[in-house]
Amino acid sequence: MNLNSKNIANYEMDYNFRFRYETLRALLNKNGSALQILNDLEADLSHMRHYDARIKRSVRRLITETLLMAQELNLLTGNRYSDLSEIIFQLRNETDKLFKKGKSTEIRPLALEIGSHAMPDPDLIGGKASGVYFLKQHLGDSVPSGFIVTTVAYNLILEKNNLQERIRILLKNLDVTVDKNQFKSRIQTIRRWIREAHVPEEIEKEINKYADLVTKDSYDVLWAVRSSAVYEDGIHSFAGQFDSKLRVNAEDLVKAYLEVLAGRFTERAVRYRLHSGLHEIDTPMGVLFMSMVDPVAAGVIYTSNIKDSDSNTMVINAVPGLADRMVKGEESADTFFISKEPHPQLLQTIPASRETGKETEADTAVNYIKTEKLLEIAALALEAAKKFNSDLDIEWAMAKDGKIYLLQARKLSIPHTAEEAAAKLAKKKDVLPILEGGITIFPGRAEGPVKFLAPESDISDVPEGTIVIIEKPGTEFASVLPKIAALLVMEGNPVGHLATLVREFSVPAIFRLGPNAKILLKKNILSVNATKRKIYSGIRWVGVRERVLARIASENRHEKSGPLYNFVLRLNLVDPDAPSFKAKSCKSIHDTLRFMHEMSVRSMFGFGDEQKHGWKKKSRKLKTGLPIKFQLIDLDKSVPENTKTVEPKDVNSLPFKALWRGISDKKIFWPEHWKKVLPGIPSEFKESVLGGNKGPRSVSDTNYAIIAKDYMNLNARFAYHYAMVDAMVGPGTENNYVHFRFRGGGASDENRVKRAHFLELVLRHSGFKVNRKGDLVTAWLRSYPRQDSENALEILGRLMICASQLDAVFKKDSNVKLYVNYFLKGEYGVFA
Amino acid sequence: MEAKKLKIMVIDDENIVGKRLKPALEKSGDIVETFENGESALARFDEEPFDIVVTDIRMEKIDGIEILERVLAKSAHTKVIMITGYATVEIAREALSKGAFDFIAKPFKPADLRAIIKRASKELRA
Amino acid sequence: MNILEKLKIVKHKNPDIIDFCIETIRFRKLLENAQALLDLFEDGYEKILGEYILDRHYVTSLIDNVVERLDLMIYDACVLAPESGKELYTQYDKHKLKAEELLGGGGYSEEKSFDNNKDSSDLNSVDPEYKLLSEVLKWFKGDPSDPGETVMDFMLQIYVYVLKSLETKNILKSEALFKSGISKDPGSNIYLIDLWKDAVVSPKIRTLDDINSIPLKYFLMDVYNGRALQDSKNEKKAATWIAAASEYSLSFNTLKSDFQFRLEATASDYKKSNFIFVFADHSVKIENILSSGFHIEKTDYGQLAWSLGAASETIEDNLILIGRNLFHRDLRQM
Repeated sequence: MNLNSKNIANYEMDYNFRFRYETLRALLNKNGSALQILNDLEADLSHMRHYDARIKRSVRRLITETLLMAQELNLLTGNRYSDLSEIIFQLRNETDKLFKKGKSTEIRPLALEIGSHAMPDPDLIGGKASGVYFLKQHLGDSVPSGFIVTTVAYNLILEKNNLQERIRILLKNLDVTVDKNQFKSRIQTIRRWIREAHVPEEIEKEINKYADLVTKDSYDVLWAVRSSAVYEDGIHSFAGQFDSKLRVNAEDLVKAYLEVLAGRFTERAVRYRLHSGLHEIDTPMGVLFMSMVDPVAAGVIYTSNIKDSDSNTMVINAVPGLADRMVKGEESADTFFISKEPHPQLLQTIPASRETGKETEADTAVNYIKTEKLLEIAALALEAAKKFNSDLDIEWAMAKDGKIYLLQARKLSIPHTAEEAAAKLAKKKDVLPILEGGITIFPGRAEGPVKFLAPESDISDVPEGTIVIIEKPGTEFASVLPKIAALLVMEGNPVGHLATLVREFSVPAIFRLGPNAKILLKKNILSVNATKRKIYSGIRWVGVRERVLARIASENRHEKSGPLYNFVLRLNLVDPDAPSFKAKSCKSIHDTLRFMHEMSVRSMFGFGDEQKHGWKKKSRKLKTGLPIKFQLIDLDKSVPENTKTVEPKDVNSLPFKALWRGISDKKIFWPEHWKKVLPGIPSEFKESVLGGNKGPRSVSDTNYAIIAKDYMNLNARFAYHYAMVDAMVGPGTENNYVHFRFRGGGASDENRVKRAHFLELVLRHSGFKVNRKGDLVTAWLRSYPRQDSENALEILGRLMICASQLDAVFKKDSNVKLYVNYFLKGEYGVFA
Repeated sequence: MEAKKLKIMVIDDENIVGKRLKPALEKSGDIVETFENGESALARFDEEPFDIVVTDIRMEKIDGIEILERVLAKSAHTKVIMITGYATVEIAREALSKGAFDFIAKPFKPADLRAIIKRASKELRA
Repeated sequence: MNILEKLKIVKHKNPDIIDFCIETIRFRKLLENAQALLDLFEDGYEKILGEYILDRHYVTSLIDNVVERLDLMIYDACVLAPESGKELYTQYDKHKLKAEELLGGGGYSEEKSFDNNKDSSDLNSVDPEYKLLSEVLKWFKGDPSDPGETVMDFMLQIYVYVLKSLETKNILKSEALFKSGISKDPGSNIYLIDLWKDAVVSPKIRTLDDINSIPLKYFLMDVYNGRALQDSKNEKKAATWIAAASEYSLSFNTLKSDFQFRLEATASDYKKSNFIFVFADHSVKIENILSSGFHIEKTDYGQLAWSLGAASETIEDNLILIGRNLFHRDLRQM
């Protein structure tokens, strides 16, 4: 190695640049991964317990990435944010405490007997089984014995058969309505996979073990095998969606198990699930095995009359024999009305073969069940309802010996009659959407008055329940999300912080609707189906509006997710310009990510300024006919080696090429006096004017650009102006950014401000966010796709040149807006 | 019961596929013919239909979907299996809805394809 | 003697502790990236050995993924060993060029080898996809006929740079970290740090029970059961250790000793992230400490060994064994 000190100095300087750039890249990459983990966590937390092993793993991975990012930020900024590491360590400790609090992950049985222990976690056994379990615990004998094969077993089967991945691929991007045949065949394929799955030995053993345990000495026990999905019979009602298998022999239990699992994937069930916004994969299922009662009569009892919630009546539906066909709606039942207070009494009977208008006497029995038995059922049901502390929908059966059994209980949700009637109205199939398309960011339906928000609008006066339309996504709209019905975005990019926030607030949203979305503004009320990406005029559904308002009003929107949400997902730091945007203000991991992203990119301004000496030797001269001088510093061989000068076409840097396209735009008119080589005038003069050495910097400074394949940091000083462009543009989107800073020198104060104003207007119209303080203009464009970022850089190229010519222009005409329009229209000639 | 010999057609414009699949599939005693373009394959199929057709999805001129459609039109019970590669999983799903039996993604082991063919042949016999 | 009394107490909250913890976490990240790199190699080998039917895209994306992983590894290494940064990036750039070369032509531009005597079942040399894949694998690990500068060599070199750098820092560390007030107990020699808590929690007395760490428990299990931690007659071999542990991870290394040893382990339910990584300088015979099933590499600087992706029971058994072997009297007498 050459020990020449100058070379070493160059080498080291080189490495410092390189390391700095690589640090920025490392940080931005981690940011991208971290945001992805956040997104997935968000979705998972909406239906998984926070102490689920998968969640714990993701959170820990996320925090590790975040901590390393903090180290990287401190490397970039000379340890300016040492607070951050402490904050992140603390967040890790807080989340660890939460994981400890959760149910121990040691109790992960494949199966358990109904009623045997303390109430198991619903995530382990599913909604239906939870109901049965509770019944068994409180009503003992009146509930048949049985056992549950848990969600642990379900997950094991999926894993061992590699089903998760296959199902995910098959269901990805499924638009249920577009091609019904496609949907149908995919569902059939999935069912086939499940039915043909291999059941691991340990599960089979457990099934047989518990079957024996439960039946003890009795022979000929037949089984009822039923699904019990997590979130079935819970918040989302899938009543009647799943398969159950009745009268199953002991030797067919495993087969029945698989069939019931496969039954979960019926078209109807999947459609329902997708519509409710759940993730297909992650609603695991338990399966309930109950010894069958061979009934002489069976049916359902509602502990309150669902048609009239105020009444003091219970309703029993009954059929002779098994009730399953009745439950599916395939068989008509006899209906009995029983009063509750002071004690159960039969009020009225309506036989299945009811003839309208005919009433029968109160005590008319049907031949398969006596009145006293009906009253017994009612009494038992009331007891259950007391224990559940809720009205219930209970399935019952009466055995040959007259014993009454309760088989299943579900909390009753009594719909409002208004909604019922209105539901009928909603069958307006013939109305077509006025706008379709875009990208679903968060599914769901919403309805409400429409309002357009321009970037500088006052957000605080947006009424609750509005459907908001914006042109481009930006985090300044975050504060409006909690109160709007839906968000429609015309252009820009479906990733980044606003999308994350949309999901956090569960706001139905469609991005990239296109410029045609303007037609929506002509309407007053819209109905938006974000799931199907269809927008209708007027009111389309009923009940949606109420639900929307309920969501907005609801204070426990995040109840499901728990405290983990606050430490990890909640974004508090929304506005980077606010004085509270500090490391100390970070309260969640999301905050720290936001903060670090912002600070890291900001820190790249002045990247090259720190090295003032000696780097000229390692830089290359940009060869161009234009009166501009640039030295190029190559970070990763984006420029041909071994040449002292480089032509723009050989600079293999995406952002640089884009900027250069703008600068070298033929429509820009370079004033004659800049091009002329005046005889006798030393070239330094030319350099000093055109190379821009006058102004706030010293003579020895030059314009330079630090470049890499996807990165550029450019500092230009010319004609008293000082422009800085820092950009990262790669094939991805999330990490792309274009930053611009401009300060004009020379001229009068008045003109400087005008120039700044000119820049501000042009930049804003070109999609940048802008901040102007006096004559310093800062603008940025973040997380836009490659093409948009390149376009932005081209605009900057032209803008830099035109702006530097403004002094002359303002002498003639001080109408800023006029020149803004000229620029935006592409009439660059006027700037000469 | 002795299983009948299957007539299998393999279509892929990448030479490596036919070259490696032919001996691998012939091991089980089936008859295998390989083609590197859709036209010649379909012409051959017109002469006599095959039990199983394994085709790449993305090929120039005639692509896998078209082959699928034309094969099924000619012989509805032929089982068509799609080979997918980079960025063609979506088309594979579409193929399933158009009647393809299953799909397999590159890189894959010939044995994996054999397993799918075995399943397909069960349905043929049923 | 009770092991609890043997474990050192970390009394004072110290910014150096934060730095140490971050450094440990960064080193583990380096290992994670290295593991992913090794997985990529293995995938390529599996494909070629299993006579998979593959397309060119598989090979090109394999190359891209390797370059990406190397990129990540290099960055981590530069953070840990900044003095070797320029050398690392220079080498990395060379490998990137090699990758571009491979991507640009590889098997397709080579002359076809027509060897009619070749066994017709030897398809590897003819299909361009396989040809390219074998060249890629050669770049990864080389082959006896043509060693060259392989990615594997580079990976080992990276480890050496980093371990060297960490060793240098350790000497300073033991002064800075544990300066104030901790009495040196001749019998005890392990400093215990809770990797995530001790950066921010007020110092407290740490015991083995305090730190809920599965790998640490297993590692010290046999040692815990009463075997002497150190042969006090062999003062020469007296070593100070530092253990930084979390629920599923353990970083255990020499702090002050005349030999260098480092152990990193993850033992959890999630098989894919489990691993054990060991470094020992040449004064210790690494085969005497490890069970079979470890991949061992010898470099000038020392011996490296690893075992990846094993089930938690295997990791636990291995840790017990290593712990026992490491502190066994006989080993130390070398």
